[in-house]
Amino acid sequence: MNKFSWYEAKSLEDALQQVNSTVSEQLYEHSGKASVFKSGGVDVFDLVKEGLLKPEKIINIRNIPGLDKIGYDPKKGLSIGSNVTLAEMASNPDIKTNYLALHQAVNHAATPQLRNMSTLGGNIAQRNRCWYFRSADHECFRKGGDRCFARHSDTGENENHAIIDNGSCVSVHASSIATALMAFNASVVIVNEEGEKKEVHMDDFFVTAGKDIAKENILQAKEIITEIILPAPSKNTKSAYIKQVARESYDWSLGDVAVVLEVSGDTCRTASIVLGAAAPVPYRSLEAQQAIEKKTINSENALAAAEAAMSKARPLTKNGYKVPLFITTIKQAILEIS
Amino acid sequence: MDNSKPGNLSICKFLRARNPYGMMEGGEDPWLLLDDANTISWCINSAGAMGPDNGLVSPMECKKGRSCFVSQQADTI
Amino acid sequence: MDTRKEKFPHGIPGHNLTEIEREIPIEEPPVWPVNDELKVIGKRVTRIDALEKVTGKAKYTSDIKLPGMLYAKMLRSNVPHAVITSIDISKAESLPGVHAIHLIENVRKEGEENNNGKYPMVKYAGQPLGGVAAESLEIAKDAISLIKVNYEEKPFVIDIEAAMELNAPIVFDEPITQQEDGGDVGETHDGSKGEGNVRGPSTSSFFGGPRGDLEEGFKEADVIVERTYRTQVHTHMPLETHGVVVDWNPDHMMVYASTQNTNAVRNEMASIFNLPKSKVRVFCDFMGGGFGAKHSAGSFGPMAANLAKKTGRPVWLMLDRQEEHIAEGNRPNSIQSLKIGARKDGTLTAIQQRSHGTAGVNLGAGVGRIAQILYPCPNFATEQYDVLTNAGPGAAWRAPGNVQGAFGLEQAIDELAEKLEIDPLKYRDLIDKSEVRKVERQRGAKLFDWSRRQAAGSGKGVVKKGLGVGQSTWPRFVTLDSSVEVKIHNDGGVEIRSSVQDIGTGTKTILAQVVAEELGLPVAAITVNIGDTFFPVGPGSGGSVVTGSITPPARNATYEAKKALLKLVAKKWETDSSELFIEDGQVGSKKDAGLKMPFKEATKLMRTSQISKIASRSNDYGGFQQPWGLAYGDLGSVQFAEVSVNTDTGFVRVDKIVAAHSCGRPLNLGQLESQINGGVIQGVSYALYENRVMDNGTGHMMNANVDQYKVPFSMEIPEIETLIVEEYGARSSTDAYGIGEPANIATAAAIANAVYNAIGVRIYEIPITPSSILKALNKVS
Repeated sequence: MNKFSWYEAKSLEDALQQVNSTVSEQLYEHSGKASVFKSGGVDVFDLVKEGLLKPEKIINIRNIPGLDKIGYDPKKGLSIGSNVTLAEMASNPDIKTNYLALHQAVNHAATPQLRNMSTLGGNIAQRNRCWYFRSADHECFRKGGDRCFARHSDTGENENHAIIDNGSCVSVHASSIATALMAFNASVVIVNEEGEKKEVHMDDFFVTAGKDIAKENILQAKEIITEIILPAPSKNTKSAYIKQVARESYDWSLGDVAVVLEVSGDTCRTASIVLGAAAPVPYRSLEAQQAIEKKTINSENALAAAEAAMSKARPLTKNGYKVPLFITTIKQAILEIS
Repeated sequence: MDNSKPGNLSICKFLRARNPYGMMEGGEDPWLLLDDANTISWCINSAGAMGPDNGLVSPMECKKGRSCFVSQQADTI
Repeated sequence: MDTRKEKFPHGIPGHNLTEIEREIPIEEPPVWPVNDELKVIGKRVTRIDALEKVTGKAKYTSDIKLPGMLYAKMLRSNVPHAVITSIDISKAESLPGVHAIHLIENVRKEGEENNNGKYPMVKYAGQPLGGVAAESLEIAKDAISLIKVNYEEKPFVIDIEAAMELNAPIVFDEPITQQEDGGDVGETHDGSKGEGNVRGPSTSSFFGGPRGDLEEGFKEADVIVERTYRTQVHTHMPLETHGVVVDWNPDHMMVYASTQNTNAVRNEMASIFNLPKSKVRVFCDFMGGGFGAKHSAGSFGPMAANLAKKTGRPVWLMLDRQEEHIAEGNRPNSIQSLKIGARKDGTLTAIQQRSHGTAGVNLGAGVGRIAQILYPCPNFATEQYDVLTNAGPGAAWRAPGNVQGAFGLEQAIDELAEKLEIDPLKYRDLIDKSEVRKVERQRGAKLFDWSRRQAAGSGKGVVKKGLGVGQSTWPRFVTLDSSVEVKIHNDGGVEIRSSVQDIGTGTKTILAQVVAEELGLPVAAITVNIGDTFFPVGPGSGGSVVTGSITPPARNATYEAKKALLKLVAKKWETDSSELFIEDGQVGSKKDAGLKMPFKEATKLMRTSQISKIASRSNDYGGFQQPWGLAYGDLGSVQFAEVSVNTDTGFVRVDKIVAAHSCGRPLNLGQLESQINGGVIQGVSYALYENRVMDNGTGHMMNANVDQYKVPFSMEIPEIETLIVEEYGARSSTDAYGIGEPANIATAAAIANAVYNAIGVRIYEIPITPSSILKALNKVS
């Protein structure tokens, strides 16, 4: 860990004035004169401790007032401040009642200790957990290097890696909460230096490796997440979330699925199906959505949707098991709603 | 290997086993010779699995004749 | 001869308990009856240091803080195979706060000429090259990152099978020599000659060499099972990493060490720095686990001492988790082929074993002796080969070799039973001659309800249940160089001293129990001062030797001290000391029930301030199996596993383990259960989770942390029921043995057999993962 100075940001304006880079920029370019944000600090300090990130200054945005509220309005929906901790989300009754899949995802994330520390903004902006990316001894594409070690056909250790959209980088996004947020069509509210706010749909917030290898989301240096908003569910909205992990106590997802359906009786009217740990970003499966929409929710149709989702899967040398794992999990998540 | 008694080869003073069965040094009762397939040897002179001559450490090789060999008797205290 | 004859309890209570007469040295204490008739032995005595541990008051090595102490960090290679051309330390040296840098260099003996180069060759990524001592750990780390090592890189090989290829990069290029026991050299499993990375085979052990005639044996067989089993590299991961604090004073070297063997560390440091043993003091009060990797001063011990020497200050050097995974030991992997033949009636006719394993840059990757001794079989041979690779060295790991060996053998026996159409538990009744395992099978099967077991793969539904069993054996090793001192002070205090360390299993507590039982005092009245090489030499905490080695001298020394005290009382009471005894803290007389004297008052009769008696481990009553301390009998165990396998996702969950064990006379049931729980959890972990992942292209370990190197957490730990079978062998004054290693040997095999029972397809490789289950079920290609 290098020496860095600490700046306690008092307001959004203050923070945005201080900052000059993003964690992702630094991991890619290693400019060395960087002032970057940290909120809960869980991921940022992991990167610093591993010697991957060497900031000159860390700007603490954790104590900026006004970013720590959860608000729910049956008409407008849910708003979660970017500094709300996962622990606060996990125990929030509005989330549990109206956004069950999100409640399940949060309660499955990390450990109670980490949920106490982690903020939602930091959670969705965290970097991936590919062990090559996290190793100072491996300069991969995402760190400005010239190769993807995990994809190597002889030596790639890729059992935890992507089966979809794994053309350049084969890491999977680390946030399993993002899987559920995307399924609920959440938007990320971002403010810039001029104080302008924009609302970005989750589908547009994450950046695929093919588009820009240096980053996993659209955030620029002089931008900060202030809240995440979820549209109000109708009384026919039902949801489910399942995460497959090697260890139940605490582990990274091997494959997680969030399903949000508008139902009428036992028929699915519209579907929102998102897969986590399948691709370098949370992956919305249009194929699965199309396969189940306007259909009766039953075992046969759920399986058809699951298989449709996997039609684009191109497993690597060691992660072929993820295909049957996802088929089972998607099917099960859909059927939990019936 | 004669199993009635542990071997008493004149092995190097700096050879140790990283196994726990009993007395793991050389000398009169070098346990480390007893079960070589499961005994992990260690050179305390180079503090590793490789001798000071960059060669493999093992009871079979850390004997008189090897350039880095030091006999048990070569006690300079 | 100064001996006497005495009758000892012998056998298993509730099964075949009887008495046996032994001729024992006259100075040995009188026989202890079975545990039921003892006060504190065999009871659930709370750990004497429990409060210190749970409150954080206990000081571990990393907690040691000394005036002027510096913090050290090691420099390690980041390439797997290279010659070092130069090392530039100039930037690191000039970093404020850096006090010394020590590089490991080849030191030529006087007049010696060689081409070894200035620095040792690099043989694996993570190999220690040097160290920095600085005012803080952060500065030391910064300094390490400023050291520039220039490498001339060489081809390397990580994968065991790639290393066995004829054209593989060579890890050690000196010529291969014929083995001492005449074994062939460098032959690979298919008969080809390995060019240098394959060493062996080892064909014999302390249980002897090959037996009978394999060919004849297989001819006699009606049924043969022949399979190949694979196990992974498993790192130790004790909660406390390796490390020392070295305080090198002008008059002696003080080493605070996280070690399983204070005595070995003392001897190593004395040899390395050419000091008399009396000038090196190694101290380990509390110990955060070792599992076999902490028998040595390693490379960090001498490094800390060299830095202490250069700076004249105490030096703290604890490894971090990554270093712990990479450089301080692992359980080698294995590829074992096993061929077993049996007659129709089940009688074993031949066992042939051939194994290859890699302990990285080291030898010692055998698969143990379990196939040789668990079941009697007239025709047996083993060939165990080592394969050298450019990876971190192995170290002893809780029953070295045998855990790998049991995974193969106990699955093969299961498969044989199935071919013979016999229940696998009944089949073991037939071929296993061990009386204690017979009792363990009976009692264990009842507790586990083995009768629930269905035919393999017959369960309905997606999640299938399976039951399996696995057995193990472990020799009763004794370290004869085991001594204690017992002191009775004239203020009533009682103290026991030895260099033996408490690895965390409760050695301090059982020593207090033994002394308390002998003196008729409460356990709390005994002070235990151990883990200090200024006290009499004790055994290393490995080989499950501690209890069997150190408790008999503890009792004998106490007995001697008690006799001396009772003589003083006898003098005062004008009677014979042989008539006196101590019970419930009072000295009493067999002749006159009216005579009573509190223990504390009796100690005031001393002319000196203390009575001090030292005793060493005497030979086993009835003699040893091997003269150097391999005891009779075995520490048998039978473990039962219940698993659930999700046939859609491939996840395996271990629901329950019943672990039936014996360790002679049990001393402390609570601690034994705790130790068995630990062994079982490690076994679950070995079967399903832990796996060192190396990148074959870069030579680096990819999961050298606690995040991606998976050990089970609370939700993964099954219900564990332990069953301890008391077994009296009349072999020493305590007749007690350890349980450390036996607790870990059979678990993975039992789980693998249970998985087979669940899904009807056998998995020959661990860890068993969703991927391997789905492949076995043909759901993934």
